[in-house]
Amino acid sequence: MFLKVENLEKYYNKKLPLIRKLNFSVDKGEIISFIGESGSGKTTFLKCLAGLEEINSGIINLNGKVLNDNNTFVPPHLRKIGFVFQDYPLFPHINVIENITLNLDNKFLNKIDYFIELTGLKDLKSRYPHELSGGEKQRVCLARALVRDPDLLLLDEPFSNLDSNIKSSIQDEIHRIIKKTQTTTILVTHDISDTFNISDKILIFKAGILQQYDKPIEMYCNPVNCYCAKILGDLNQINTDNKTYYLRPENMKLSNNSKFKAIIEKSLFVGKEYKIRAKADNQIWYFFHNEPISVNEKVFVDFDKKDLLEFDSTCSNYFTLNNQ
Amino acid sequence: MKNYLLLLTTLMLFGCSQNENSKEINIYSQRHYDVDELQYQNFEKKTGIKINVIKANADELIQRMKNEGDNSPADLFITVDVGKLWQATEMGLLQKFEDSSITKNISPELLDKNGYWVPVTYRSRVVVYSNDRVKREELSTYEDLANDKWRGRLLVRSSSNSYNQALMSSIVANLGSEITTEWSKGIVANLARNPKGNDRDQVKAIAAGQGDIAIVNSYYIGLLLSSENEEELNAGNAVSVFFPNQGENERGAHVNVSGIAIAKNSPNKENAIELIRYLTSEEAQQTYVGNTFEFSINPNIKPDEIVQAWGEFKKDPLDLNMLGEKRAEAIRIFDKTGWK
Amino acid sequence: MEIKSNNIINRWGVNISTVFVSLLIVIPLLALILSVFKVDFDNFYYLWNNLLVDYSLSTIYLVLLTSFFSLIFGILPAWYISTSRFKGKNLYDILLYLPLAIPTYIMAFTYSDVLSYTGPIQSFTRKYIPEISNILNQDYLQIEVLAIIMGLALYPYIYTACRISFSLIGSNYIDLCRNLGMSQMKTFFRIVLPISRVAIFSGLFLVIMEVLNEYGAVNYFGVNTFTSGIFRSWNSMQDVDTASLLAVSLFIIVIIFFFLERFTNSKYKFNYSVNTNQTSNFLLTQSRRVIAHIICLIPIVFGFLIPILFIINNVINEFSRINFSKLIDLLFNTLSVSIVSALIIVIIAVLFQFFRKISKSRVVIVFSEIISLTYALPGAVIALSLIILVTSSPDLVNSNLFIGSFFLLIYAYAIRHMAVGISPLKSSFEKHPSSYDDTGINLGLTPLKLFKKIHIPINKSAILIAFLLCFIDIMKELPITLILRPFNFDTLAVQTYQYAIEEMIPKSAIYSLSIVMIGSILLIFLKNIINKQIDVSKG
Repeated sequence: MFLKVENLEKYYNKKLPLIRKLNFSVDKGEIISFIGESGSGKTTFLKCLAGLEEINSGIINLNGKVLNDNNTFVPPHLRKIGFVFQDYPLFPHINVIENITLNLDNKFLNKIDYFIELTGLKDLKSRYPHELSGGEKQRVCLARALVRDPDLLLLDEPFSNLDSNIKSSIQDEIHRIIKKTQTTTILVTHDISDTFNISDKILIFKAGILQQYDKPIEMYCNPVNCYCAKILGDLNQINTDNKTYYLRPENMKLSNNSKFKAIIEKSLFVGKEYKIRAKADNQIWYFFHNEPISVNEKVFVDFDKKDLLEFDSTCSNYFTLNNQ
Repeated sequence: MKNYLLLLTTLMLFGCSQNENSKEINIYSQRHYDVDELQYQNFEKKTGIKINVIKANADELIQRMKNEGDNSPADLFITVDVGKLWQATEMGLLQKFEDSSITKNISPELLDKNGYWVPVTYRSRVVVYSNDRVKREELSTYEDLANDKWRGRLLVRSSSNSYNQALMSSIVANLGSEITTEWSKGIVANLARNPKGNDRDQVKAIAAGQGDIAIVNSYYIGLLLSSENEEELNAGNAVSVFFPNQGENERGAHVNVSGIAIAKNSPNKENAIELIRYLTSEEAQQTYVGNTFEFSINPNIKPDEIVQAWGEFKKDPLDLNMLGEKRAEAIRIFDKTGWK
Repeated sequence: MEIKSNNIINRWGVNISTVFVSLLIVIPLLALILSVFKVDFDNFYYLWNNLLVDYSLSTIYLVLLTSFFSLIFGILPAWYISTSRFKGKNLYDILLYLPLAIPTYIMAFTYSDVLSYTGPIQSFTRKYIPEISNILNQDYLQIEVLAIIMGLALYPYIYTACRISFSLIGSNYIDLCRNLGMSQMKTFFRIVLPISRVAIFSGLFLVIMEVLNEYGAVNYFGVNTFTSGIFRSWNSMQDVDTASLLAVSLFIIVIIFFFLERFTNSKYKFNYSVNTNQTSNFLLTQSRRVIAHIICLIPIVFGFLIPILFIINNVINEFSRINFSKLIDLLFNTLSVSIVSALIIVIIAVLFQFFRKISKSRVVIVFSEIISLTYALPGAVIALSLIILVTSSPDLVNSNLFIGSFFLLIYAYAIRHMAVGISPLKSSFEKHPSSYDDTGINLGLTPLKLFKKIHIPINKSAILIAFLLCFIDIMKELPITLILRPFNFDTLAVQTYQYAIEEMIPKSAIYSLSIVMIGSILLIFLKNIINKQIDVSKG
């Protein structure tokens, strides 16, 4: 456990806590995605880790050192934490290399060239921030953080401001850079699709508490509640045997005859196949097919019973402090 | 570089307050004509005493002296309105001084009966009239200006001006509040326009045909008549000067003085008296008379030629301190009768 | 289980120093308020019954009229210059600022001379076009004429605000309007004007402040405003306490307007989209182009060219009589005291904005707003209250050392003009995201380093703008200087005024000219900086 967060609580107003009793840990070199809706407290959480905000109670422990508890508060610049903020802030009056080396300790000076190379900034060293694209700015921020050999790297919404066509290549880049340096990283985002394939673990955060924290595949196949399930992908709701079950679209197939009927509404072209939208009773179901199906056609669908997901309560719920 | 600036700033901040040097005088003066600077320069050349002047409105100077209290560095207080000297006396800001070598050269009716201030020049507040539209015979007294016959023809500046306040004070002192109130109402009814502008503007307005008579200080006419601006010269020539209340049983024209007094806690009293002596000397009086078209307080010194052309006149012998004593009442009458 | 704070920024240190400096600035206001309790109510009722109604009505009328004219002279040219293309627009852009270099009282005295019976216009017509001269022979000392003159002197405040606002609105909105088929007029009234409300009102606020503060010009034109009442009770009735009461009432009214403006405008504070082009969009038809030229030329000609030509003419006539050594003396005095005061103001303002940024403390925010409010006090009132303050505690402070010293003079300047320095700095500091500070802290910069290495460089232009604006304002300043200046120390403004009220306007010309020249050069310089700023704020 490289980073250990115990019972972390944070509120601005005691009646409306932002983070309640957060408990989790991260191993060295892991990349964690912290998923939450806008305004849920994700950025605040990062700021607490970095020492830019104080926590109200709990313990933060990084690399064997207590950063924050009842008796201790290590100031931000002594925490060895790198932070890339959401708007990729670069100081406008100095160029790239000066931004990277701002207030840099002498012991890191020989690492500069390595990180410039690693982040592909060799040709941009003397450019000024207003001459850089969004992606380039982000890489400068990354280099600035990494050159100081941080124990922990924090990225706040790293992909939200990027054009979608380059998003995936940038995601790959970031992943490559981070893994090369073996930096423990926490990535915060509101859109899971940004980080699904680059995270070692995913933490879903809602209503101030941790909903689920696991490897992506576990999250996908065994979501602990409906909220988590919905975040990671579409769900078809199936009412049968007086119970409510849920099913992932890829597990539903066309069949010749079954007890599940549906009427086709639309066939959406998604590249390698068609995503079919159908209506069954009052539910909307999605499934995949290699050909489009005409509208209003009546079909039968079927699935394997073991693919059904079942949750304790109805599908709008997520864990709160009471029912966890 | 930084150190130099710091030093400079500190010096500037605390230096230059005032020096306790014996070869100096500190003057709080309302007068600031070029001729005053000339006088001071001449004095400095003669005596080697340095003159420090602060020029401001008389009321501001009084407030400042009052607030400075015992620590005030003021030696002399100079005003263009004797009423302010009276006020300063009442507020205990001045000290008495007697020096017959100075006062013997001054017309006795101009002196301070209480012995605090000394007059330096005097002027009269006169009536000027349009040469085209008014006959000299129509004019007589200040009181007559309230007569119906002048309806819509009279021009005068605002009541907030101290010259008008002094005039009003003299009328209150001479005729009493009730009569003066009626008089003021009459004046207001005769106004050609709401009071605005300064004395010279009133004269220009006569030339422009916006009124026929105006109440102004005598020296302004001298200034107009000696102006290099052709238009101002024309305006000056378009009017004539009339000294009111000159009849057999009349009291004479209202006068006001520029005066000088010694501050209560004057640190350089001897030097101050020197300056007073100089300013009332013949040499200085000639300088005043020739430059500002005022009258000399020395009865032997004649005014400038332009002024002489207006003829001699008798002065209202009223105790000049009345111009201060009756001031509050005068202002109340202004406000009550709507003389803005 | 609460965790004690050990924040890197010493909260208490920042809070205390902020409060201390703010109090220093606000103290005259307190002294004023305290003196209210000593009021002789007889005097006050006298004023109330006889004069206050008249004063208030005149004031309101003058304020409304002047606002009207300054809005017209300010908004219309700003619109054309920000959104259209026509020849000479860049030159107009610079010239339209210049009336700020001419103090209002100089403008008033100059025009009253120009228009007067013996002035150049009427003299000329009397000689050559006598038919017109009768029509021209009017009494120009009217409140309406004064309002136009003050409008000409003060419109640059509105022009500046609108210029920046209209430019930053961005071509997106305007392109959209063109796409929807809206004419230039419609675009202006339906879209641009409402969005620019905030900017226009803040400019208008400054204009109204100046009108309320003005004494010399107003007195000469025979207009009795509220401020006249203050001076009347102070001077004529020797009642300082009633004057203070009136001043405090005026102040309270101003504060109410201030907060009202804040309140209603807070909903309208738009964030301008960054990354927008500034290309001027509307192409003008021939007739429109003529209109544009006329609209821009009128304020320039009447607000700057005519006054300055008149002044230059007077200087030429008086040239042989100019006392050059006195001029140099006055120049030195004016420049040195203005530079030092402007520097002090800017330093305090920068520190306050910095503290605001990094401490996020309520105390700091509130107090840094409060210190702008002293702008609403007339200069003379500030001067007087300082004297009262300093002399009322003779044991604590050796008042001899302070009165008649530069310390008090500069202190008074700082109080009066703090708002002028704060305004550009505030908007510049607010423009930069808080992630700069967070990043700086994360990288281990101490607050001092953060200040020196980051905040000062990125706010450089705003600092320069603030300094220049303060300098120009202080150079023109009159009432405080008249009351508090040390012996033998006159400024250009003081000398100008003294000649003007003694009806020696030609003699005052060389000193007026100096003020106007210095101010104009600095304003042109300032304009260039602002232009560069607007460019760089993209992206």
